[in-house]
Amino acid sequence: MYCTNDFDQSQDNTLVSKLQAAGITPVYNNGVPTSTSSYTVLLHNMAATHPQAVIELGYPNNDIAFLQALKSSGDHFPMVFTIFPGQLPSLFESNLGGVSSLNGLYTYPAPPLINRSNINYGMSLPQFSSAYQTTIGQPVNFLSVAGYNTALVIQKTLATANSLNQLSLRHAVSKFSGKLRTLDGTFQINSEGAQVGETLPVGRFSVNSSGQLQVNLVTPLQ
Amino acid sequence: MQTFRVEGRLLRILFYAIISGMLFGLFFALMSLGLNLLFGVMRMVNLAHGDFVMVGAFIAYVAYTHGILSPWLGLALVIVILGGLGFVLYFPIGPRLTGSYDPEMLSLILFFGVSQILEALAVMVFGNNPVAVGYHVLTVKPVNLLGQAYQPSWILAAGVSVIVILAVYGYLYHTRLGYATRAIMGDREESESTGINVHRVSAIVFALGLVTAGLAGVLSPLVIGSIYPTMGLGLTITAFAVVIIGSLGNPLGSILGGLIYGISLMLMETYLSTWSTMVPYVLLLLILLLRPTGLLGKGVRRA
Repeated sequence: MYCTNDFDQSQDNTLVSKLQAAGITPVYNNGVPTSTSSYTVLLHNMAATHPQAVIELGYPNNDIAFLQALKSSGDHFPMVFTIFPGQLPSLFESNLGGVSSLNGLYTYPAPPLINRSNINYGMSLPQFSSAYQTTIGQPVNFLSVAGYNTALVIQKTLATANSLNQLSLRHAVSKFSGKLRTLDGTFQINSEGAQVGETLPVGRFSVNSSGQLQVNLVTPLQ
Repeated sequence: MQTFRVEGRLLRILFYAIISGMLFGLFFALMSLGLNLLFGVMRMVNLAHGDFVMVGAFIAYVAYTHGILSPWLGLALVIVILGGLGFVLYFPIGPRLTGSYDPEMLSLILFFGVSQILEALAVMVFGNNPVAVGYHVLTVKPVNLLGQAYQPSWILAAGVSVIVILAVYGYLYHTRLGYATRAIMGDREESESTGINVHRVSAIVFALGLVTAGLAGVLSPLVIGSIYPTMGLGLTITAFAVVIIGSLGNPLGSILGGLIYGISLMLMETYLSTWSTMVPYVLLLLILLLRPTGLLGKGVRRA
């Protein structure tokens, strides 16, 4: 199930074509408006098709509403994937009533849930987490990592460019494209100057013995 | 045998959509009731209606985060806070608006401003992220009805909605104040000439309108999940659709409008989910084209 916006529908198109190429036909593939907040009946309809896995592609509000409905509907599926819990786990924990609600869920984990070690520019995740906590007084989250990563790219661009005119900035970005490895992955642009989205790993949440949420990667971190 | 099994499954899906739609619709009947009352009595178009629902939801959220875990106490809090606020707010606003040359248009503009203020204040206080109120009923096992599982939270919200709607019905049709309210709905000036204290009754109805919106707000985490400061606009549009389907100015029409909206939405989610958010707008257009007075409307509306 996907929300009918560019972000989610394009992922659904890719996913369905890849599944079909692998000989798997989705038993249920429907779009819902992005403003959807009630998923109970949709879940019931999906359950009636007995899927082996449920993949819900939405924005954070959709994922929250979907998981809340899943929790209270009584429907059970062998595997459930949603996008944003891996990026905003604390938001989902507070909305779903604790870490146990996320146990077993598949998602795209992002920093700080995953730690890239082979970086060549900027602070590592542990260094940034410590600096952020000291400066801001709050624990680091994906949005702060993404903001820091943007600043790193701008900093590198300014350091590389000969002048501030548009062409020079563009040449500077092209020069380090594919070579800049930060705590958020490799920065790369295509021939038209658009940033190439990286392939995110898929992870599965579990709760460790001390009651903390952790993620186990089921596809490799690239 | 295979055909029977498929037909049985399709029937079960249809039945589930209808029952869920009724539960969902009853909540929206309550949600739109206040909008209808305010228009019926004072000819006020409350564009901030959904924002008062949001205020009710955040009162419940604040209460919950301060240890008031029961929705019943949240409902009581909203009755006191929004009831008091509505009664006090009426006197500087109501008489001027109802005495103006165009109360519908002026109230529409005024409440648009109120809506913006409430939304901005809520964003400042609570931020933009959705938050949840984790009532215990959300974790209770689903209720089995004719072989299918329904969420207890929806059943509770629908049940409370029915009780509140019946209480408002009882007020309108079985109390002296209710007779006065209906008299004002019929003709404000004639009611005044018969000795009815129009402003006192209007203030009570204004408070009642905000209270019913607030009560729907307290119940909203049970039905629509997370709450957020900008949720008001969408709710206002849906509430308008519901009251116009039933009949603008007729509180009983809210129930019919709510049921039609809820069932239509769930049927759309079942059979044509991509277009489901069009439901309130399509119903609104159909009603305005086919029966502009609403399904329970008897005469020509003045607005």
